[in-house]
Amino acid sequence: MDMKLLQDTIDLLRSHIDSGTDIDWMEMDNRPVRDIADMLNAYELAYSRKMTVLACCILIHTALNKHGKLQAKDNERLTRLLLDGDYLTGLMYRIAVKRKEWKLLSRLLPFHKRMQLSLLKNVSPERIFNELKREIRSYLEQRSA
Amino acid sequence: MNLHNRIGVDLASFDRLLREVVSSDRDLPPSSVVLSSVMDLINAGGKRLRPLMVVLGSRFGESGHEPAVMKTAVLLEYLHMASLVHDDIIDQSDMRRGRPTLHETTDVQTAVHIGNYMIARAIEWAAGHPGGDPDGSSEDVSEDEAYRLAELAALVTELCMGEYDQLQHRFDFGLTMEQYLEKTRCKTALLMAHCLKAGAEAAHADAGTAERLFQFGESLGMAFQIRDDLLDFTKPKEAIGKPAGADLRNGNITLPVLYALNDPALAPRIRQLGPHSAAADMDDVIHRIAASGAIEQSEELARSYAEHARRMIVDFADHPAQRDLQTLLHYFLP
Repeated sequence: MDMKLLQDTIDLLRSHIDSGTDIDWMEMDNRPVRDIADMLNAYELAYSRKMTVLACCILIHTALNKHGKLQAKDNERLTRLLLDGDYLTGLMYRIAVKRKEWKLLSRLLPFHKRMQLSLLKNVSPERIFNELKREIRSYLEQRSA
Repeated sequence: MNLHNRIGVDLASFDRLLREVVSSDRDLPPSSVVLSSVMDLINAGGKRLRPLMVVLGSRFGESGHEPAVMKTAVLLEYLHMASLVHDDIIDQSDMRRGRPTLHETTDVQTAVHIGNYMIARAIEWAAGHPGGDPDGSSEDVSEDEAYRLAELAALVTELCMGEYDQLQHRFDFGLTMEQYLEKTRCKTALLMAHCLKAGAEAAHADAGTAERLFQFGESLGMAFQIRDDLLDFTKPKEAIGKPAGADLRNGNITLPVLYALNDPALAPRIRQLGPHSAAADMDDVIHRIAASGAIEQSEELARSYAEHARRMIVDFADHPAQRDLQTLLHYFLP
């Protein structure tokens, strides 16, 4: 497991996230995205581009988790979870644009849309994240073909 | 006369495009709650101020870029509609434009996913796939154009910052004027400013013009939001579709409250309010603020932003679309 890629990517994300959001990264579960980090290491791709791919996956995963906990009765907690999910999704667009990864974004956009439709059909977040892994693998295969 | 008539924009055609975004989505089943909900949101109407501002901004560029302009307008209206869906959850609003809000007709979780869907689908539709993988999106755009559209979707982060500020300062009567203005800028003015700028950029206007339109839109947006804050105190429930003083009841400190806090007789009554205050105490304070000089002071600041915008119009004196900016300004400051 290459922790450097994961750590560098989290540092990249920290540098982009406005401190006013108060988003708590400590509560983030890194395990699912470690698989993607491992997958990225198996492909020929510039390190900075691997970071962008991983950053987008972390943002999708974390936003998914935040928006998946909206049963909170406490309105302040619900508001924060809702805003965190919205902010992280917006940041995914921003980072992909800033780092000129349109081909990646053009795959993630339809995925993100279909993800919302799947969630409405009560598809589990784990299954959705597995679909994301397949999408990323397909993207990497296409890049290296 | 409505703004769209005054500046010569056919809103019916625009609304057809809004509907096309969802009706052309091959991933969406015809009987889906998503489809019917988004259609309901579109059919509920609205002034469509943001897309009108995109079209208006485009008049400062070149002609012949209408498809890019309309995609920009549609994307920004979807962004606005989706943000209203999420705002209504945050504000616990049960009605909007005289109809039950989406989370009331469905549930919070469903409404959130529909809001997310709307933004993702709008960019997918607008940006398509440069190089072309047809998937129900509109015709292909260049990669630069796709980046420009996706960057607009990233404006969500700025809108969120306004909401974070509001959340952080809920019932915080120590909120400073600077903090209020920044919150207002993020919540409303930035999106309006970006609408004008994005329209100009979609029509390949020069960078200086686009930037000046942004600044004009920012001042206009500040005036608009302050006016909206005022309506919360001055208009009856029937006129604004929510109870008077709803902002304060939710702990949202707006400009009239900030000014009223300078009134030694009123300040202690305001400061005693909190999330668990009795409705009668809230009603009393809201009534007193509405009758105080804070309303005129707030109106004065709104006028000063509008005046700044008016002065900026002079910069466009040699442009035929200058009169449209005047129309827009007059709309916000009759």
